[in-house]
Amino acid sequence: MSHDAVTTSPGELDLSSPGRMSPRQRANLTRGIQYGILVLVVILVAAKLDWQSFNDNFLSLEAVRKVGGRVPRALGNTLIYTLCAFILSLSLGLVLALMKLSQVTVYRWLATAYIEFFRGLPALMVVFAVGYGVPLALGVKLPNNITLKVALALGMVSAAYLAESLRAGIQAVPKGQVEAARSLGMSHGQTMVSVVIPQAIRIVLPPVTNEIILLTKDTSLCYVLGLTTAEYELAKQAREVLKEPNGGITAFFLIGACYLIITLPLGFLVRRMERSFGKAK
Amino acid sequence: MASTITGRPVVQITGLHKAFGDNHVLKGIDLTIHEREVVCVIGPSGSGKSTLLRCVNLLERPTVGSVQVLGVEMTDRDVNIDKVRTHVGMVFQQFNLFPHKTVLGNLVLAQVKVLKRSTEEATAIALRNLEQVGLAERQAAYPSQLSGGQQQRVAIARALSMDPKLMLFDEPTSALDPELVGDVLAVMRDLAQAGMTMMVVTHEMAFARDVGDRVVFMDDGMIVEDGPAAQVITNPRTERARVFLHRVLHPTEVDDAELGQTDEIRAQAHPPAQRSRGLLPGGHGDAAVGPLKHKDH
Ligand SMILES: Nc1ncnc2c1ncn2[C@@H]1O[C@H](COP(=O)(O)OP(=O)(O)O)[C@@H](O)[C@H]1O
Ligand SMILES: [Mg+2]
Repeated sequence: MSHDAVTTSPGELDLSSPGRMSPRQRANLTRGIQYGILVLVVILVAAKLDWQSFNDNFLSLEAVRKVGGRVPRALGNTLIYTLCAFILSLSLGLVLALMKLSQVTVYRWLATAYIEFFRGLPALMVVFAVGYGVPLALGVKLPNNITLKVALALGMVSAAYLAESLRAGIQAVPKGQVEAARSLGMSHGQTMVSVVIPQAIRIVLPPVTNEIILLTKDTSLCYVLGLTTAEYELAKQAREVLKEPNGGITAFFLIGACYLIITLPLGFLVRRMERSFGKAK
Repeated sequence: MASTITGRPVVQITGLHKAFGDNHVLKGIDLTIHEREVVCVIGPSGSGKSTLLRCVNLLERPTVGSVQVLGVEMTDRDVNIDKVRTHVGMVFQQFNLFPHKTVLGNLVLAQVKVLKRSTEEATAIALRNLEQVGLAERQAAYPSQLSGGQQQRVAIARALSMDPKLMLFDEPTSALDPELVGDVLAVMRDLAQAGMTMMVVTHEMAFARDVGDRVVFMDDGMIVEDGPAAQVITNPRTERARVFLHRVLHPTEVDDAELGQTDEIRAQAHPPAQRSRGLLPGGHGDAAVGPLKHKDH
């Protein structure tokens, strides 16, 4: 509301601000500074690094040859543990989500109690409990199957997180969708299965993907169950490799990279699915 | 449409009250709709039109009173509500098509799940109904790829695929761009002419006058006028209906002095017999309503 603005003749804005850069010039300068910092850091790291030691430790082909044969089995185990845990997590998570949305108060309480309990405990403790505590305490004898135990422990924890995401997804489906389905004579169950859940899946795809990635990494906790060589998953295999003489850190990182072999394609797949859902939205 | 009513009653509402908590929305509604009759419900926003319509297929549960549809008491808690609803089609202001299904998928779903028709039979019926609303060639499209007018016609076809005996419409053209309204109204008029029993909440006065057999004017949760369409729209008996119709038909003529007067009028049981100027001069009503464009498919 300055007087200058009033006195400027109509149709002419006074934009001159002496000594100041235009927004475009300022943006260019900021970008220049960012590139400068990047180049500086790269030069510093390259100069400070002991390249001989780096080659020995990170790029040792001999080490790769030594462990290479054991990697596929570990990768396969990680995949199987993750998949089984996720199947349990999704099924149980969906049941819990529906319980939280139930008309029956007791179901809502039970679901809430479960979710709060398993979200609050470290996953490691649950794996431990499933492996040793529960069989001792309850006298039940779980079959001595690692896949089953891992899937049970991690699936139960993951279900607690997934239940909240699924519930939010179900509630995000517009009320009009339910009304349209019900007005066509569809029952509550039919409406859920054919109308609400398919739309909720699209909504929860990102958080569910997240949960799968977390599960993949959490399979590393199964070492507390005591694994035979054939049951090693990636993280356990990597620790074993580190113990070997001149196994070196190369093999360790090679195995670490295998996690990315799982998670990167998963992210890619999900982005493709989201795009294909695009028009059906 | 002949206004002589002969058919059996399809909807019989008596002493209907509906409250949301302390908000008393419907205050004693009595309404009967006969077979092949087209009843248009008009009235100001918030007067309870949608709530009344939704009480008919029990999307809202009445607080007090009786709603009989096709001879079934809907308020009976043990009634098979899903079964009754298959005979009562509903069309929403916001279309509410299933976005994850194609047009054909939208029409087939409930036929297969609820009526247990085979997929082939359901598809044949769906295509016949899409034909009727002029959209057979869009059967593979997803709802988001259609215009609002097309979506609403698909929604009508979806309801018709269940072979309903009664169709409920809740402001079916209110969410549409003006140039798309005509297509939807044309479909509805064809339906009326084919003898469908219809209850239509609408602000399209031309449609109400030309297609409706009866017009019901609601205000403040009550039915204020109920009579032959042409009479209620062009020559309303009550002041409240006159004010409402004037505002709908001549929206640019509401002057500053009049602002908020609908509330005043609503508060008075018997509004003043005369006002400074006639709100809906006789004879001008027709011109204001205008003709309903005829559109063939
Ligand atoms: N589900 C609901 N919960 C609470 N209040 C509602 C609900 N639906 C409608 N109402 C209230 O009922 C009144 C009438 O609404 P409605 O029937 O939609 O009127 P209209 O369709 O004539 O505009 C409004 O005051 C609205 O706020
Ligand atoms: Mg409404």
